[in-house]
Amino acid sequence: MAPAVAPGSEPPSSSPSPPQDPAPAEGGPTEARPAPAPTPPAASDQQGGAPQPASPAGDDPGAVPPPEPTDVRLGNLEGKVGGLDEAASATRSIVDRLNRIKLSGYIQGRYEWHGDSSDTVDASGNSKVKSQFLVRRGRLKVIYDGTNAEYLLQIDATPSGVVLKDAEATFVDTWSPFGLRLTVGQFKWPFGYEILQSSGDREMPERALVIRSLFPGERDRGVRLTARYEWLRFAAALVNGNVPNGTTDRNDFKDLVGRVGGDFGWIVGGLSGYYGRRLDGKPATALTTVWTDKNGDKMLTPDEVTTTPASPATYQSYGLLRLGADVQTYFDIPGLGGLALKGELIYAKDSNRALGTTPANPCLDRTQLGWIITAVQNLGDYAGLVVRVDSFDPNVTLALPDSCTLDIAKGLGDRVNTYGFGALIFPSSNVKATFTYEHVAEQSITIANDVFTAQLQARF
Amino acid sequence: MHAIKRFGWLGLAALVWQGVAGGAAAAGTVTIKGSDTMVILGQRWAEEFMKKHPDVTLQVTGGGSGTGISALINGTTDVCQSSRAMSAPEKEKLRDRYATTGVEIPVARDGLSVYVNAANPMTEISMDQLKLIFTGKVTNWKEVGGADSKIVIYSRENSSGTYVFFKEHVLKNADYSPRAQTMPGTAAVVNAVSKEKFGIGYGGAAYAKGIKILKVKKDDASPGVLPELANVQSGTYALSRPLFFYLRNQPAGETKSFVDWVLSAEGQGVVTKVGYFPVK
Repeated sequence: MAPAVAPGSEPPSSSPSPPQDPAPAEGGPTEARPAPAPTPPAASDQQGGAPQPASPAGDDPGAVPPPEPTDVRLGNLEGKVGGLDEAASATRSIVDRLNRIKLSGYIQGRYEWHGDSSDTVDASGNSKVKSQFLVRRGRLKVIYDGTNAEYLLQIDATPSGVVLKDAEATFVDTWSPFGLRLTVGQFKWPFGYEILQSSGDREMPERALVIRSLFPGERDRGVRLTARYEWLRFAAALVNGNVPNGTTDRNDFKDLVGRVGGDFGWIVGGLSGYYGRRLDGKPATALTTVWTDKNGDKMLTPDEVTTTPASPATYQSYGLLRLGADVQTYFDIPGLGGLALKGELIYAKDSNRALGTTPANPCLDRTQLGWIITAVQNLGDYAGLVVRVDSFDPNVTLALPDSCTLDIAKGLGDRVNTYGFGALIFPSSNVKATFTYEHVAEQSITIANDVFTAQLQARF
Repeated sequence: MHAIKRFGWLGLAALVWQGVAGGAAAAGTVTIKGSDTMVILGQRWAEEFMKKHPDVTLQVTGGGSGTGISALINGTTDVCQSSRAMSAPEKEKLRDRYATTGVEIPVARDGLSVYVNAANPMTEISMDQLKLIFTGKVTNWKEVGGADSKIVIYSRENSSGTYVFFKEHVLKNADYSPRAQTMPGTAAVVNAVSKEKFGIGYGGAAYAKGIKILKVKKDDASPGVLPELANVQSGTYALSRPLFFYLRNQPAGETKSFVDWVLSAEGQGVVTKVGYFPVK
């Protein structure tokens, strides 16, 4: 039985000698030269050669002209091949440029069932229905891989609108062994693992609560430098420190974020840090007087009038520190497939919180702690199982001075643990179906807010 | 857990099982895709292996090492043939999708050869001279000790592992000359050089028929060395390189039988017959 050979591959040969290709095609964008060919005899050139000797056919219009000599036909064919080579060269030049454009994207359509969904409205009249169909993400990414440059633009189109996700202008170093890349634009914070993991690759439908709380939006604008050498990985960025999708920087301080790690194939890990400052403003309010006709007599009485005094604009300034450690390990389980075990720990502190001109109050410092553990077991090439357990404590009690009396500062019982698991199905390289269930456990209260998600992702 | 009750464990399990069973490749068929340098070798291996195992079908295709690695990541091939090592970003993609680092198996060695026309008086060339020629810094043979004639450069497409290996090891990651003509395969490079008196190209040792192979000097002071068995296996030849199989997971079933046979004395004998060098 002979091996099957797909179109386009080089043909098999029955002996060790190499296959003989046709004349090589032109490839270079400039100064392309066809392979030299034997020069046909001048007398055989029908367009401009010497006149052919008279033949009997010239005397007999009904006679079939004799076939051209082989060398004449060969010369003609070689001329035609040369012309095709030139045409192919021009086409290849265009294709080479187009090949530098990489277009990709994915759409995540899903149904979410929420345990706390309700056919009612809240005090503001907003619907409390949460269980619904969603277009969670509609990503479109374009990359142009130029000479020492990379253009990257990614947008997210959903029913909520079109949002810019990534806009990166990158200078690519091809000279040093460090693979340096200098990017200016909007990009993900180089911190930890789950922030940088693509939502298209992530096994669970959303990032863990600690990531969503401490790094909302996962992106910022600034300048970033990345490098890799052998197993070493390095990334650092100077960023605005904005809340996501803010249009302007809200303070002059530029935040510093980075990660140093190692990639040893089956085990990958790193240490991350973020240092910055936030400035949350509160606008000025005017004096307001509200009359509420409590007894319905349509008569204004002093006890029915509420007056709120005017207040000046205030701001709250504080420092941010985030430290993280992450590790991912990969094993090949015989008969099953790849097993990934991933862990991430994040410590955060917001400190020196000062309201307006009031000195910083240490009782308003917030120490936060979170962790994520994920296990993914592939079942062959077409399915997998995932389990993720994560925890986020927005106020770590022990970190505060004993003199603090505010409940929120003491951080009583506000830790949230989430236990998630699910199944993944990959019918093809372009499609992923995900079915996950997440049990959300608040530390001090019981809320039926578990979430089931069924999602179909199509990507190209 | 109300939702689980509502949607049903059985339905979920059925969906998972359908994903495992329904998507599996046809039993007895192993697909092999990738390096054009290795396509002849792969076909010879497949022919010989299928003679002994008529119940197994091996489908061998080329397209380039990059194409083969993409197919491995996309799940459209069982075995990738590659004339270069997988890059770090490619390994990361494999990990992201399959939670595995993949399996790299060196199956042969090659002495990446530098071809010139049989009529070219050159007999040897140094690595530095090769870099100068292929980056376009040197454009006339007389600048490297040859005849007074313009150099015609033949290269490969960027999906080729040979292209990447040559760029990394000879050009030190510099860009190829824009005058280099891109050829769709090693055989096309050989064919072009055999017809162009002042041409120069590169490719696998097994293809080097009808042209002259230059001795390669590691530096100006070193002796020129041909890509022969002893030089390639000892590493004396500057452009010796391993040829790989890549798989997503440890091989099993027919794939394991094939890989084991390729690494056996019989499989390595095929390597020698085709014109490459055995790994052992």
